[in-house]
Amino acid sequence: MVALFIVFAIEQPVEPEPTISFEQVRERTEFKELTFIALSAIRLYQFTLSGKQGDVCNFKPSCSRFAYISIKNYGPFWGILMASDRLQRCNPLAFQYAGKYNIEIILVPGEGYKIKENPADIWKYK
Amino acid sequence: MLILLLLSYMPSLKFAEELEKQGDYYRAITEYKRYLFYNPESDSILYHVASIYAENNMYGNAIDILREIKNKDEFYKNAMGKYFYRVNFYDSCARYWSGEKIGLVYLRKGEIEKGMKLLNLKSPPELKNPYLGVTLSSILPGSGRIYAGRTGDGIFSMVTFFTSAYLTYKYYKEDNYPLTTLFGSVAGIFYGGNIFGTYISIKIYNSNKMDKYMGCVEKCLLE
Repeated sequence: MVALFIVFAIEQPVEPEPTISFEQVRERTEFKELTFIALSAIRLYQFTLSGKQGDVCNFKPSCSRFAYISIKNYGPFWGILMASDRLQRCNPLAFQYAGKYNIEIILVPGEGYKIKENPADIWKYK
Repeated sequence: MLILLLLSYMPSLKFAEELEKQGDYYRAITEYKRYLFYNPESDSILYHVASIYAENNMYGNAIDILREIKNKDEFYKNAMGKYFYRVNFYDSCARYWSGEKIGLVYLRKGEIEKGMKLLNLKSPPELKNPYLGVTLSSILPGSGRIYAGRTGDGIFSMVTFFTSAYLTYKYYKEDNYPLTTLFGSVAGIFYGGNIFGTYISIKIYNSNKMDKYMGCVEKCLLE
């Protein structure tokens, strides 16, 4: 039994560490108040106007969700810039870049075709 | 009884290979590592474990495994360089590679001419200058995006910026300061976002161009 215990103790399988991006582990502490105000404004929009507007966004996640994640992960400065860039790209001509510029189009059940783009997809080119 | 139990726990390469065949890579690696514990000199298994990690895009783990290899020959250097190259650690990669492969590092680092010379490539990739795009966007919002090849986005950017800028001017003339501040802020955010977006668009464009340009060369040299 002791020998068995030793064998197990020596060679315990170790689960490989998950790949965590630098942004995920970094804690943003600067501009906390501005972040709070920006995130609250987005949530307010999502709870009030967004529902009345209907499904008008060409992207998945939607522009407001994109803005929320960007500001939360990368701080208010870069987050607002990324959100502003996304809003300008969310236009009727957005789908014409399919096949170019790393654009991936997916079929979302109940919502139709959307362009898949997460904030990390943009951030890696910064 | 104890000996039997111990023997049953002895690692088996066949079992590891079977797990690998089934796609259970995590358990296969554990079995290979168990085998390596009893046979630490087995470099071929170390290379194999590293390749499994690499196939699953866990290049950091692959590099850690390769570091345990005793015989640091040319094959080892090529493998280490390849994994560092895959995680974009080009300086580390250059320490292991030599000859024409260094050309890949130069190309990825943006030193196109040096890379082309080493790889005997004739024509350079047609890249766009992100700083020219940023300058164009700063002067006339939207023009940088058109330069990046996104004409539709560029026109839409122009419309959004100039509309908000016009509203700012209109409310300023009417002495309506709250709305002037609101639309001024919106115009400022659109202006900044447009410059940022132009820079990113050109980076993506160049990255795609480089991938296409290097695709064949990389395949020949790295596979």
